[in-house]
Amino acid sequence: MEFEKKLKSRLNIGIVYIAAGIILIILYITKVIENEYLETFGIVLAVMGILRIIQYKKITKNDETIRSREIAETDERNISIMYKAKNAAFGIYAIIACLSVIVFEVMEKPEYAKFSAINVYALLAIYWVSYFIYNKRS
Amino acid sequence: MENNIKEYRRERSITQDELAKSVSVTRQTIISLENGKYIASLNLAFKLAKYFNVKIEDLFIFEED
Repeated sequence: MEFEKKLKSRLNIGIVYIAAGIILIILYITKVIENEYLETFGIVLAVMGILRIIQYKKITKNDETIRSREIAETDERNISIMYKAKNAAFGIYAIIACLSVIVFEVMEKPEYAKFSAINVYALLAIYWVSYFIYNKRS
Repeated sequence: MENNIKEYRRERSITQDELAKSVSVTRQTIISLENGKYIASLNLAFKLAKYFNVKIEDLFIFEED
């Protein structure tokens, strides 16, 4: 029951994505906004929304498919893999950002180097804040 | 950590899929457990022990380093 509510909210988010996407596309067509990146963003949002709805229909085909999906999403091994992947992504991203600071400095592009350095600081700051919060909670 | 899940499962003639559904995990998790690639959480270990009606220490073999 709880999982079905979760699925329903995902469907609603999909509808919101489509609505937001269509609004952005209309705003671009009517030339209210002239940024073509926003139009592309609108298309991406609408497609994401459609995919969410298709996925919802597929999952809610019958009770068996709902149960299978629930098991897959709450499976502890899957969750553990997800955490490992996030951990790896965090580490790799931090290394790439650090290296890019050096590369941009060598290339004499101080603005980019500064941006990369801010990225690294922000990442570390978010990490330590999250660590502090989770440490307090557990 | 080694375990006797495969032995207990075969003894009771249960498929991996049936066991997986009974303890609410994917079949892949059962495969990984049986192959020793994944160590079950305490919660899953209790579920499995309850399912087979055995003690956790009968199902999982604790090895000290």
